[in-house]
Amino acid sequence: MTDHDVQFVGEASTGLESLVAELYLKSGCQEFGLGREHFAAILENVRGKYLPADAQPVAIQELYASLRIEDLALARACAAGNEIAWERFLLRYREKLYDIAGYITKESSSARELADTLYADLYGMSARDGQRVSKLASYTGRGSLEGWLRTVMAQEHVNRYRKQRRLVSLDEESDEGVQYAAVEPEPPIAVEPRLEAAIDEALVALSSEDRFVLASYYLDDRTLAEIARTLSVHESTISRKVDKLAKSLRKHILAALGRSGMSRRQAQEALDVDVRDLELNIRSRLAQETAVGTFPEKKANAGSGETSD
Amino acid sequence: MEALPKIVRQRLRSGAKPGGHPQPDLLTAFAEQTLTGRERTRVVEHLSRCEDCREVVFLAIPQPETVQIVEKVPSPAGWLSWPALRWGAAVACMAVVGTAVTLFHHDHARQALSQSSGSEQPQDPAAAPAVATSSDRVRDKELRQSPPASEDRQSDEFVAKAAPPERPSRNAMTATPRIPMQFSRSRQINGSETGALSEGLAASAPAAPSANLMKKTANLQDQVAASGNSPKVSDANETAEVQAAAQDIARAAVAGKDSPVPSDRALTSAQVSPSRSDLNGARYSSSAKKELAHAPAASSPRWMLAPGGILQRSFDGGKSWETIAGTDKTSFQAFSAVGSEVWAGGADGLLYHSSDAGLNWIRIRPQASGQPLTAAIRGVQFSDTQNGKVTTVNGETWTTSDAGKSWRRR
Repeated sequence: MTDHDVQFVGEASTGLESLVAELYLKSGCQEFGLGREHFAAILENVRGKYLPADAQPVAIQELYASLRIEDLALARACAAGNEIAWERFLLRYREKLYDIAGYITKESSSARELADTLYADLYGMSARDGQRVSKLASYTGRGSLEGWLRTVMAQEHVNRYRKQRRLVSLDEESDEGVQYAAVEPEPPIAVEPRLEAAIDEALVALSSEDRFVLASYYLDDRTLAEIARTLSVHESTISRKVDKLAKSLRKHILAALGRSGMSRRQAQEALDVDVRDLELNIRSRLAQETAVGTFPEKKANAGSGETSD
Repeated sequence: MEALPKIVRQRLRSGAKPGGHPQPDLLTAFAEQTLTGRERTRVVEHLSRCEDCREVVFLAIPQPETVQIVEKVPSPAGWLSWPALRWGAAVACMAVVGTAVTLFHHDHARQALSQSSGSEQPQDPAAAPAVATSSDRVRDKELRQSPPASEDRQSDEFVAKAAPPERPSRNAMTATPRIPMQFSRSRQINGSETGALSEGLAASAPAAPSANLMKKTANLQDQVAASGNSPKVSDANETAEVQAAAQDIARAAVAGKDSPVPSDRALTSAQVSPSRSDLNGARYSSSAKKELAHAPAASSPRWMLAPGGILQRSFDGGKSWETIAGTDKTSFQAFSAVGSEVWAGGADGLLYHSSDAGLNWIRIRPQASGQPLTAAIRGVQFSDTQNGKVTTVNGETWTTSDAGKSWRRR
């Protein structure tokens, strides 16, 4: 390390300290009784989560500058059990918690249960090594505290939903409907290997964002507006992108199938015709061939004990 | 939208599953668009393969707040803008309320006055009013020269003569009922004005009053005489004469069979003496007394100055209005009504007074220090039957405290 490097690191360290001092005043930790050393330890904890140990001071400054420092101080003060911080937290977010839960669950009783569960986690009902562990201690200030609460609550809701789907019984399935039934894995169907290879090749070529758009639209049935809001673009941009991606995928798959020796007609049939669709058609046709009144008549006769000649 | 083949959807779903899920902080930062660079790419890569995290992200993104931007467009019509309408509505409401309150108090006051005067004399609500007409003008000289009615006079008519030196009070006339005036063959009423009544009023006077009117009037006058009050008529040299055919009945009336005996100060039952000597009297059919005796009491009329200075009145609370005959040729500017006393003033100092709710009109010629009132009258205001003031366009104020007999100019 040259003298110039030493001087640069020294200046950066001085700048980092001044930034920490500035952020400390800005955070309002003094109101919650958190000292400057405690605040610096919190920042160091955050840095350790997102930056490597040998991160440059500039990267650290950028990280610190991007933090929601006031929300971070409030969350960590709450996690530390500060009463003033809890009063402020409840004043700001108690009603919002129920609103968020209502938005996520779309049902009042489930919303209240979800909000109460999260509130218990935030307060720290569970203990580790004899100490109360608050979920707020995991908040790092990368986003707003309200957004973080929303994300945590959505995670809890999704976890419950998945768990419920896996635990649902066959009786509940028949009573409540198929939407509560556990997802049955689709049976493996023999697919033309060349088709699979062509599709995988086309999907791998997609960017992560394009794949996210396709998955959100075709697999999750999200609306164009929802996807656009997630990526912070206009709805029409997503519409054009989805259409363009679908056409591009078909084009690339057909091209790959052509390279594998299929004719264009064969490739189109392989891409558009699904064996499961044929199976469903056969099932529906079999169901139609069964006379409607035949089975109930036999069942009625059997139930009454009468015999017909 | 281009459909995605089912086999492609299946391969998209069954792609390589990601390892660990991102922390809620990162998902929050991604949802809030605060992630940049490599962190965002990693999160998006995870989201493209993790259905659960996509679900979390879509649930974590708050609903956009609907913000309605309203462009302020200037109003095409400035005077019709909302503030103008608002203030206009407020002013209109105040005007309506003020008018209602004024009318209510005015009616209330007139009803109170009418009730007080009605206790003295009956009124006929069904009777239609009329102004003394030119046809009513009878030869006043003859009337003035005719001898006063006496008990021994064998006549089929009685005559209202000029007032005695002691003038009767005005109160008696204020209770004069409104009576329709019609001509009939057998009974005739003539009003005579010797020129004091304005030309406009006199020239356009309606048809002559009927004998019924005179009968009722005669009856009323009998009651007036009986009560000791004599009606003030005018200084307009008006004379009304009633000729009736029923001589026997008239004779009986003159003899005082149908009416009480008058006092010394009052007129006899056969005489109506105006307060001013110009109006000499009227002759009424004695049979009218019987009809008028059964007439119900009337309420005080409402007055209105129609456009063009035409004086109108209503006896049905404003449902219908009738124009006072003659006023359509005289442009009145102001009027004042206290009970049955009505004062109306107009151009060139014209001032008319009716003490019988518009039945008969007298021109008043105010004078002060030898100077007559000649300026156009702009306001007439009488607080009671005696005290009032008249304002002119040149700023003069003429006041009277004796019902117009004498005036003071300020």
